[in-house]
Amino acid sequence: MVECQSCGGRYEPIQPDGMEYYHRCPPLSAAELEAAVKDGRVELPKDETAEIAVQRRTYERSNARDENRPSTAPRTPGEMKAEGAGVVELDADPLTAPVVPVEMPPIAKQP
Amino acid sequence: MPDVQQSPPYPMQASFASQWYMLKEDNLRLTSYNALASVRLEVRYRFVDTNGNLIPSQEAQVPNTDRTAKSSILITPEGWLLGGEVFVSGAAPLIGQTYVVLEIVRGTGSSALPLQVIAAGYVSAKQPLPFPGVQITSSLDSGGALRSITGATPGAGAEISETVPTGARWELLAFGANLVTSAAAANRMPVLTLDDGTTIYFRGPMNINEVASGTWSNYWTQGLLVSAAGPSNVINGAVPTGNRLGAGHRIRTVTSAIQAGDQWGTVQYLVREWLEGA
Repeated sequence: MVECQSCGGRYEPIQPDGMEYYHRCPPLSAAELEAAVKDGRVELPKDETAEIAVQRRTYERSNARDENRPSTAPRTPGEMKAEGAGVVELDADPLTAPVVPVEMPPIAKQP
Repeated sequence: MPDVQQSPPYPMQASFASQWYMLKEDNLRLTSYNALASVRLEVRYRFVDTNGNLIPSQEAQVPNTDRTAKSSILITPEGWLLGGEVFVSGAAPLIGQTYVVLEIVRGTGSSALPLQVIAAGYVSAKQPLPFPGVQITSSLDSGGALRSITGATPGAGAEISETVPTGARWELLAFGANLVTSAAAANRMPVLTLDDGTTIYFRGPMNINEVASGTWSNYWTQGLLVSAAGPSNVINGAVPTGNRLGAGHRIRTVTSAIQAGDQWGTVQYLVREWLEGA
């Protein structure tokens, strides 16, 4: 499990089926855009709320990470479209694990 | 193509072992596009050289795992290619995950001149690709590989965004995610959007208010007409039937009235995947 330092997204770089997962940061949500407007990091058109603005256009992070390959042509190993702020390794997240093993007593002692 | 015009004459007096006569400077080139880890490709083939000797050969290639091309030159003697096959000896790719192209090329290295494609198609653990003389198939022919993908859990107050990887084409069959709403009072209404990497071309709204302090299980699938709420906060919505998403296209949520403390999670979706050069 890793955490993207650009958007806070958490994901497994290798899927359970053995295939690689390529993260790309999401555009700002209405809540994030509202915070950015309050901080003066972006300006909305006159009389437009953040709620409406995200319906009309996408607001991308300036440091967005995009792990996708630039093309399918032979390449430099590991090359990605945008590094962003990088990722940090996390311990496995029990809340997002799809399967959680539970220790079981012998069948005779089960309720 | 001056190289071809300067080739020595075809050995008309010799018996033809096959129609696939190759000069000393002709070789085979194997190019693979693969999405699965630990795949190993084997190529076995038989040649009859100009002295009439039957020569079996075997070569191997470990493809890239990120759908990018990997090419290998297989050096062949002068003579007649009888036939062979490409098969998988490691991992167990599905149809839709490992696509190979086999060509006759003149020369070696990245500057080798392609002369003729003799086979192209998917290989799987159960289906080798024979050559030559088989129908060339596109990487978009076939039913695709069925994949259940665990998406990223976004940060609090952020939306879900999943991207079709470079070199892939998807059909989105179903998409599920839970929205845990904070105590902040508001009626959230999630919309699943499809975009081309920039601009939205489909919006699938839930049309059900998801109120504060709840866990809402949202599922969008093909074949539904309108959204409907079921028991235990389960809500169903629709995605277009027979949709196709190219590389770089995104599957996103845009949630009306999303609050900073809301949390999307348990992102899981089902797609058919094909490989596609990009």
